[in-house]
Amino acid sequence: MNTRRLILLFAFLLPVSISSCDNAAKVTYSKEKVEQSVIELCKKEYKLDVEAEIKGSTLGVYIPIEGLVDAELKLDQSAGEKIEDVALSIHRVTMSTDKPLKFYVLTARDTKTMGAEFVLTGFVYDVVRVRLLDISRGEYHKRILRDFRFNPIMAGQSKIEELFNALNEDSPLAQNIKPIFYPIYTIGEKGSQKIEIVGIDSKEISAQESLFYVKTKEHYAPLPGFDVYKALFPQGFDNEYLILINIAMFPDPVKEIVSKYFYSGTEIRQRDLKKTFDQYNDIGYIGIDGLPKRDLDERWFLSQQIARRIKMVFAEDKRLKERFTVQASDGAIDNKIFRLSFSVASNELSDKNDEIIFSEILKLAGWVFHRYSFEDFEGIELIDTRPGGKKVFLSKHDLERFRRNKLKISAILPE
Amino acid sequence: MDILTLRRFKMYLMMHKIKFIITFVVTALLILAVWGLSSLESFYRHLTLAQMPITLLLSGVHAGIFVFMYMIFLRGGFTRIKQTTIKGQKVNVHWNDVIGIDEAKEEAWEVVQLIKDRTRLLKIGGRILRGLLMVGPPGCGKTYLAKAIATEAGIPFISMSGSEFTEIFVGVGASRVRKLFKRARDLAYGYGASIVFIDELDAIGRARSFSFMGGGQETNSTQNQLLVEMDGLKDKDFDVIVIGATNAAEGILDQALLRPGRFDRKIYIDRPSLEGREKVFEYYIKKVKYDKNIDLGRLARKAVYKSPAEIDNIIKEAALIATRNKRDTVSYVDLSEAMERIDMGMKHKKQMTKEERKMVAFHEAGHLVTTYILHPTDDVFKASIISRKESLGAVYRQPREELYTRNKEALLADIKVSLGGYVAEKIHTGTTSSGVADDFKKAMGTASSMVWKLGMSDAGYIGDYTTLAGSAQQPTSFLSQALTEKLNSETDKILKKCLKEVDDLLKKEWQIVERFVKELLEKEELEYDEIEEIFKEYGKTHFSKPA
Repeated sequence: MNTRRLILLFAFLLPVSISSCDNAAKVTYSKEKVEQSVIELCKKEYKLDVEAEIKGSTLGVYIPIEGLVDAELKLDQSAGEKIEDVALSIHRVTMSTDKPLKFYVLTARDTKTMGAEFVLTGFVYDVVRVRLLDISRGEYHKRILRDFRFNPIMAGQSKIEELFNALNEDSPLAQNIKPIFYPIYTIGEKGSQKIEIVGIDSKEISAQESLFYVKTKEHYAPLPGFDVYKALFPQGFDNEYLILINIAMFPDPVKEIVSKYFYSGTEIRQRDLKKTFDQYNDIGYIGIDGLPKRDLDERWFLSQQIARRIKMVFAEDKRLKERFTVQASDGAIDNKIFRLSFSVASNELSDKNDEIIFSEILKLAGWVFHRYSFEDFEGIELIDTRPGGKKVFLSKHDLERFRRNKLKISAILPE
Repeated sequence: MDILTLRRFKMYLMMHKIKFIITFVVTALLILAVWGLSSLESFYRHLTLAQMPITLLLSGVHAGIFVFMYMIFLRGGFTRIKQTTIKGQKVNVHWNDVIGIDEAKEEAWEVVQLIKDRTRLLKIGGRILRGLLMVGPPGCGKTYLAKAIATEAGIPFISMSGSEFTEIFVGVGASRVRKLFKRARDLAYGYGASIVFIDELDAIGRARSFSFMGGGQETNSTQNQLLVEMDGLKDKDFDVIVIGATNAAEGILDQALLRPGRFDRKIYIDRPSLEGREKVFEYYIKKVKYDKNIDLGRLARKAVYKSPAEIDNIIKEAALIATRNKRDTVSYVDLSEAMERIDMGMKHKKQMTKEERKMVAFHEAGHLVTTYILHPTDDVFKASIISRKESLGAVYRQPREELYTRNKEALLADIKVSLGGYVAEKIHTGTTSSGVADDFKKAMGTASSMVWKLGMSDAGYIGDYTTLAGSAQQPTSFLSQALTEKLNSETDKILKKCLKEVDDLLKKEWQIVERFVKELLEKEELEYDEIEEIFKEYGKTHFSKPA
């Protein structure tokens, strides 16, 4: 090829290359428009209306679905397809944006069956890795946190609103609990009481229980002889309640109601309900609006993933499945220490049971940390929650030694 | 835009049709690729771009494997040849560069004029030249002359060797001929004319053979196609001139090729004459640094029958020798050594005994003295007792000028020179060595030819008796036993007579022989000047045959 032809070729390829490079550098979904992009993509591609919000490095997406659960309380097939569509939109946006997102949370809620929701929580880096075939699809699915449940907050809030309506309408259902709502049902004329909810704060305190701090304004007409209370409880006075809901107790999930005011002997006294409410930890991360309440972090995500994978390990391995049943498994993180509590029952009495259970869980945890190259932790604590169950702590270093078969389980387990 | 420019543009489009299509497709694909990439989301775009180098590499490897397999299994290996097309102006061999073949040049110049004046020729109804055949020994400048024609005529030049057409598969050669002529016609369309030069024409131009086994079919079909293409040229109003070159005898070529309208003009290019050789030496020696005192005329005389290519080779070899001897310029000695090396091979000294060396020295001195005094046409340029190839020594002789026939005296002198070594050995020691084998073979061959073929015996036998003798083709001999004996007896007489003359000469000039033996044993090699000097000492001149 002579020089002239080379120059021509170069002159042609140069603008093409520059144009390609310029295009290559551009991101499709800019960091300023991530939420908007997800909303538009779902609308444009799948005709789905979603809401989106970013908290720190966590992208939350909420989609209300009519008929999320079927008559048998299982995930409806068409609803499942819509969830997949939204998830795909989330993947596309998170992979092609310059916003440094780490997690995404997709919440789908049933608009008919109150509290029924499906939550997908994933690590964006896992999405990229599965696209690059760095991890298998099977492994990717194990890494996603999937929760198909009744949200105790949603269910509880609905029940509370129902309860206050029943009180205001003087329904027979409310007759038995009226004395709890002190003082208006003690000092007011029958039928004159009205309670107006002015604020509800809630917390998930376990998988089934939720605690509500309810602020109200109350109205009543005093009974004859109780006019003196008008000074203390004027019309529209502020009141508060703490209500504990356990969704496992449906259809009557109200486990406990505590009012701010109470009569003790000769005087009316009051409780600091706000302080009591604040003392409880909120384990839930999905708010009433279906979007994440806080930014997620890797430690929490891994603790939850390992806890879920414990169940998978004992369910998938034929040898383990025949011998063990995981009754409960939970993960938490406390000052850079992973706490895995579990209850694994065995149908075979053997001295080796603990060795097998602890060994499998440690292997799993070590493998997960290794695959994520995660080192920002100090150790791991395994707690067998069964009566008389053992408790084991391993430093990060020892866990790695165990993973490399340089530390035996017999040397780890207490006698 | 004049008609010729338009034609050239059209020709360019026609000739580069495939290239244009490929360029268009590649450009379209490139644009589509860029467009496609732009429409991808950035993650997938990055992914695609990141994978591109390895994808390209793998594609290249796959394509390479495919091409390799295709060429090996379907096209008979990587033997497809490339036609070399060069524009006339770029051939860059000018008329003055062709030297030493003046007569051929004159004929070729006429061809150039015919090409240049073809329009005028057409006007008066003359026939445009179609084919030109150059016949001559190898290395005499046939290709060079063809290139010079292209340069002077200013038309494109396509060069191919006849052997490049031949293939194991029938039809491949013919297809190559078609492609070659199609290209030539395209070029001629654009430039008014073009030259197709087929070197080694005999590879495809041999007289066609027909075998029931199918042998030679490929060559036949290739030649048939060549004939068709050369005929086809008549239908066009532009010229494709086919120049063929061969060093095979004209009779070897198929008659159909030589008929008018095909290779209708022939130029015989022979080895250069003395004057031509001198010019060739002058031309090539300028390409190296050389001693200005070199007598080029003497070199030219020494290089009788040498072609320009051989002279070029001699000078290149001399430059190598000069470099090896750490000299900055090429001297006469280097040229002389180069000539010997090419003609006689490299020196390699064999470990001979003193007696053997002496015997070789007497043998070569015998040849030397006989040649100098008795040979009417040849000069002695060198005598050596250094072994080369199979010979233990040599006397290097050349005709003083190109001779195309040899008379009876010259042939007798050749026999005497051959016998000179034998006689000298015999006079010196009373015995002879095996070193005479080759000499006897030559002497016997010459004497036999003189009697059997050339009618040079004293007994008066006229005619070529070898045609009557038995051979592989003609098992029956038509010669009587008596005649055969007589002819052989005449041969023997010639040899004996020559032997006696040489014996008389050497005995008479034994002093000179001994002097040369002494010089040879001392110096191992004697150059022309030294030999001349010694003979002058003894008052001898060339061919001072005793009366």
